[in-house]
Amino acid sequence: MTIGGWITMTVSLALVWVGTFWCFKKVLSAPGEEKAPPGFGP
Amino acid sequence: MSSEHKEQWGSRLGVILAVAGSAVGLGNFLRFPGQAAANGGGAFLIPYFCALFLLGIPIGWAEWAMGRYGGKKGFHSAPAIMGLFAKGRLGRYLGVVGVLIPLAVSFYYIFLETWTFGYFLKYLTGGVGVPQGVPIAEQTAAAASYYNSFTGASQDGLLFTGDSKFTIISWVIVFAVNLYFVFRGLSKGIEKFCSYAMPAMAVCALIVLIRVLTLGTPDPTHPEQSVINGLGYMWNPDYSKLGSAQTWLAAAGQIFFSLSVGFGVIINYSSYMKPNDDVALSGLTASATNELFEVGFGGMITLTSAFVFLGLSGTTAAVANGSFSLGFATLPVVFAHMGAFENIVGALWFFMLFLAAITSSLSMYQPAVALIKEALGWSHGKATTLIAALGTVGAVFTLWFTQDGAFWHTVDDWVGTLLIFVMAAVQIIYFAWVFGIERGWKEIHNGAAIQIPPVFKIVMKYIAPAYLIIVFVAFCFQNLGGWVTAAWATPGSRVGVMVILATLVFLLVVVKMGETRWRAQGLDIDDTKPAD
Repeated sequence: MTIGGWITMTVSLALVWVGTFWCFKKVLSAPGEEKAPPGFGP
Repeated sequence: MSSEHKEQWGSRLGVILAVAGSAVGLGNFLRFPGQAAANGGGAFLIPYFCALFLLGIPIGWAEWAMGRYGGKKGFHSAPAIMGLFAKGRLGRYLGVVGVLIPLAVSFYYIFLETWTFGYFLKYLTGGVGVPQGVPIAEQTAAAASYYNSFTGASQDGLLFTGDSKFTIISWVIVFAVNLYFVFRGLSKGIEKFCSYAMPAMAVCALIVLIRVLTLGTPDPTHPEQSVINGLGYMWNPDYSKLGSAQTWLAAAGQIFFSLSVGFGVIINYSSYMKPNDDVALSGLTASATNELFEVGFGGMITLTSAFVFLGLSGTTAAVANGSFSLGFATLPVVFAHMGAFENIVGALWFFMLFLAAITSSLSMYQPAVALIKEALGWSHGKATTLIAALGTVGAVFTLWFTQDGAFWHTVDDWVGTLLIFVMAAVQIIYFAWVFGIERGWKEIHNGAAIQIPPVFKIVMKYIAPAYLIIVFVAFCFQNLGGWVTAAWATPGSRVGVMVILATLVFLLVVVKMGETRWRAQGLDIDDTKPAD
């Protein structure tokens, strides 16, 4: 494996792994959907 | 509209996993590595990521926003939603493509899914019969023979008359599982299944990846066949390929088919979101998940394992034979070299492919079910039964005309490839130019959890449509002549063309009936008033 191969592999993997973790972190940390307490709503 | 309970996603994560599940398919693990290796290795990732950010993600955002806007107006089918954005009849009829694509692709995709399930079962019960301790040429011949037998590739009708009953039994099981979850509906069926299947697929992929990366140099007589050199085969960049239009075309095509934009599923799925649900982060997350499976797993597993056992020439030959041959005829040879782990890794690999396939196939009936429900006012059960019956007819053709895969290759070329370009181009043009980019931008950011950089307004209005049209014209120039010839070459391909046309006519009639019904109900089908 050449240095160029290591660089492209590392950069690509970092992009997809970090990108996916960042996205899911944002999704999971977003405020939860409001739900009516028991006894209220339909 | 149906008087049934309004369908809706159970959670934001649920819709993201369902869209990601629809996007992650066999191509992530089989097509991507072959395309990369043949088009510059690591250098391929430059045009690939350019296409992701300039084409895939922006058009995906438009499609998510279009679907949610349609849902606000009470529509869930691509024809009705496209009619809103086109402000007229032309968009509605062009929107038929957004139902035709997933429905026609389902005709053959469940057959491909059957391969993964059948191979999984075989590996659970002792493998596919690749002999050990014999030259690789003999092993390759044995694996290819099983592949041809299981898929009926040597003769039409073979699956019904030969010794390939196992294929039909596997297909019946796979089809029944698909129907079960589609009948259960959006939230209880598709969402629930994907919320378990996607993490399970990631775990399987991780285990197989770890096994592959720890293979070392299994054959001391071939020290060059190591994991590191296998990674090099996939990732060493050949920058000279960047000067070739073919490389850029292949990268754009791979992004496009992989993300499922223009496929008709995202627009349908997002129509079941709540009016102020986020689409910006959700669309980005679904795309990122797809990329993780494609680059993070597909780019690391498939060719690396092939190289370690088959070497440079064997891997190059496998790539040249195409994605399916790589997955189903070459990798069994690779597993045969894994000793005690052969059947475990083989079963895990094909189970992972099965999960990738079923999370995609589950999405393919929903757009047509939605159209039947809202155009004809049918219940979910009745609409699903009709689409299941159509799916069965399509599948019977697929299972009969198996010689060289002529039937399903024809449907895949004309519908699963060409029409996706058409649908995506129509969508982005209607969104950015007819609905208006300013209004569209506001729609994307309604309830958004992230702010998209304003430069993407320019990308969505000018760059993505232009990029898409250039790729589409080049793609047609490169492939269309051969496809026209192939479409009439065999009985299977001719039947494929007939099935496409018959399905198209059926869907056009349904849309015409729906249009009459919606007008009679006084619905705002031409979007003369803004959504609430």
